[in-house]
Amino acid sequence: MSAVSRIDIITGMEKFDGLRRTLSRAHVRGMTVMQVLGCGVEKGTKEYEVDENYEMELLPKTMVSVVVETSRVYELVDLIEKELYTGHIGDGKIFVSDLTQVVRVRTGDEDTDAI
Amino acid sequence: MARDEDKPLGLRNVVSVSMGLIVSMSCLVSLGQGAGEAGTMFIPAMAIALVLNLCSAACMAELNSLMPNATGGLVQYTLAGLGPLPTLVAMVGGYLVCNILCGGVEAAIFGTVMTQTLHLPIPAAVWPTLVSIVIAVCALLGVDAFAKLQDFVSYLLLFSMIAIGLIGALRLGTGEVVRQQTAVATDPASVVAAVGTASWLFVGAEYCIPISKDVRNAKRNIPLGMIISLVLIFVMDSIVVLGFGNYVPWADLSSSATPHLLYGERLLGGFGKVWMCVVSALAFTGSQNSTVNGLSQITDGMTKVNMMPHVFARKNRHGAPAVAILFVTISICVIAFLSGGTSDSISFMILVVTVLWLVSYILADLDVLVLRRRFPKAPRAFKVPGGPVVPIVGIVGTVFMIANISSDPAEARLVWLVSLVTLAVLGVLSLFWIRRKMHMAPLKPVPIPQVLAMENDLYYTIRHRRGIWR
Repeated sequence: MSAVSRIDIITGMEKFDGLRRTLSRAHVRGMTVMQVLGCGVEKGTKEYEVDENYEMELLPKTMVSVVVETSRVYELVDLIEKELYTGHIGDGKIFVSDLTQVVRVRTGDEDTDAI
Repeated sequence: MARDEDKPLGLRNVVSVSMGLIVSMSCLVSLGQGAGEAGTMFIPAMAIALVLNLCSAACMAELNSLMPNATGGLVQYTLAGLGPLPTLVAMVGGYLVCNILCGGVEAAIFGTVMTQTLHLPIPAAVWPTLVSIVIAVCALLGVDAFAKLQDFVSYLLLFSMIAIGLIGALRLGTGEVVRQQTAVATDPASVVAAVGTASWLFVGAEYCIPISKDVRNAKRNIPLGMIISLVLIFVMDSIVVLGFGNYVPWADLSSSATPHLLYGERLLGGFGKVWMCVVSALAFTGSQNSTVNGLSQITDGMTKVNMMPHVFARKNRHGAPAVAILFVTISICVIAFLSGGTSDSISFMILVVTVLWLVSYILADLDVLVLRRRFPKAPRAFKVPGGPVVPIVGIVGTVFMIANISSDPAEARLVWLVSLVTLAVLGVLSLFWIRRKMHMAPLKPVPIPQVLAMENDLYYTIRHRRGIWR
């Protein structure tokens, strides 16, 4: 297992402010945010609809990427889950992946020193 | 959905709403009569009752953290945990009917107290009607106006009770100090028996849950608010019990129909009686305000899941469920008018519907256990510690309260029988409604995402138009 991991969070745009605040309070230093289009297993079907969409309908979402020490992943995923959770369809998904190398260009620092 | 920082209510409001429903006029009577029967040993009985009610409040808070944006609270929790039939029976019997009846009788007693104290040539029914109109107007102006009224009433009541309790406890009153044994009941069995009476002093903290979607940082403030309100009430009631002991003989307290007024009179003469009359008015206003707002929100929540006629979902321009507010207010006034000064038969009915209310508490504890089993990994911002211990203690404690519903065994048996019959009748009617209107399996739990999707008005509209829901 590598020393650093990346957490990608895809969620509704309205939840971004709360998520940013939670991550800041948890001393996460740095994030990358993208506005994306996508859908989950419901194929973009609104939660109040009766029938599921036949074709995937892409909905606007926010994707937040943070790189953290692997030892903090469990704690942070728990925090993020609690922050995003409402029980509604569309609360979001969290992806965690190992990173083989991180380099800070300005100093040449690597891995945990670079984040 | 509103951003968290834009929500109008905070922890202070959660505490005042919780306290508002709990500290009603009948609670003031129960406090005096309980103290009269057990003396200062009523305080340990209250402590046991506090622990039991903290268990129930904690379970409600965990359910709230699992479905934080649900309008009706227990409606949605039970629908997801146990299915439509237990939900409909518990909510109609345990909340709507129970609290409308209780509110009506409170209103009637309030009218009688005001007439007896102020001796003005005004019919008794005018007082509760006036207060009910003010409360309805505030509720119709939206959650902000409701919360402001509740804050004012609850905190004034809290400080008044603590002040009048301290005056008695420190023997600073103008009346004659009574020399008597501090404890009437000293054996453990008597203390445990007093827990039944003490329990009523803490029932209703969950009424803050329907406002949770308007509360900032609800994940923290709802459980914390319920706990703070219950502890504050315990402290306040304990001080008042100590005051009782210094100025009123225990026997006089237990035999009085209005022991709080008796205490005020013995403590500070006529001024004290008027003070306690004002306290009664605050208690009535607070409990009615919480009842009207809480029940209208619960009714709105039931409408969303098609358990009530859709007319109750109509909102005014302030976003308040106007039809539900008027329905609850008018129902309470009608019950108050019908019960008048003779509330014996209605008091028996209150015991019956209180059993139904407690049954809904048991269902809430069961919801916690069932939903933990079905969704063990769902992120709960608040989870009751100790595994299944607290919900099980809550269930056992509630069964104990039902078993001690009345000190008269014959009356208790009759209450249980009528409650069972009421549950059976409600069950048959609910079954009919679920089959005819909802087209759902009566005992099949509804998935949480589906329950929460029902919050959206389009859920009903689409199904109604397609003939799936009637």
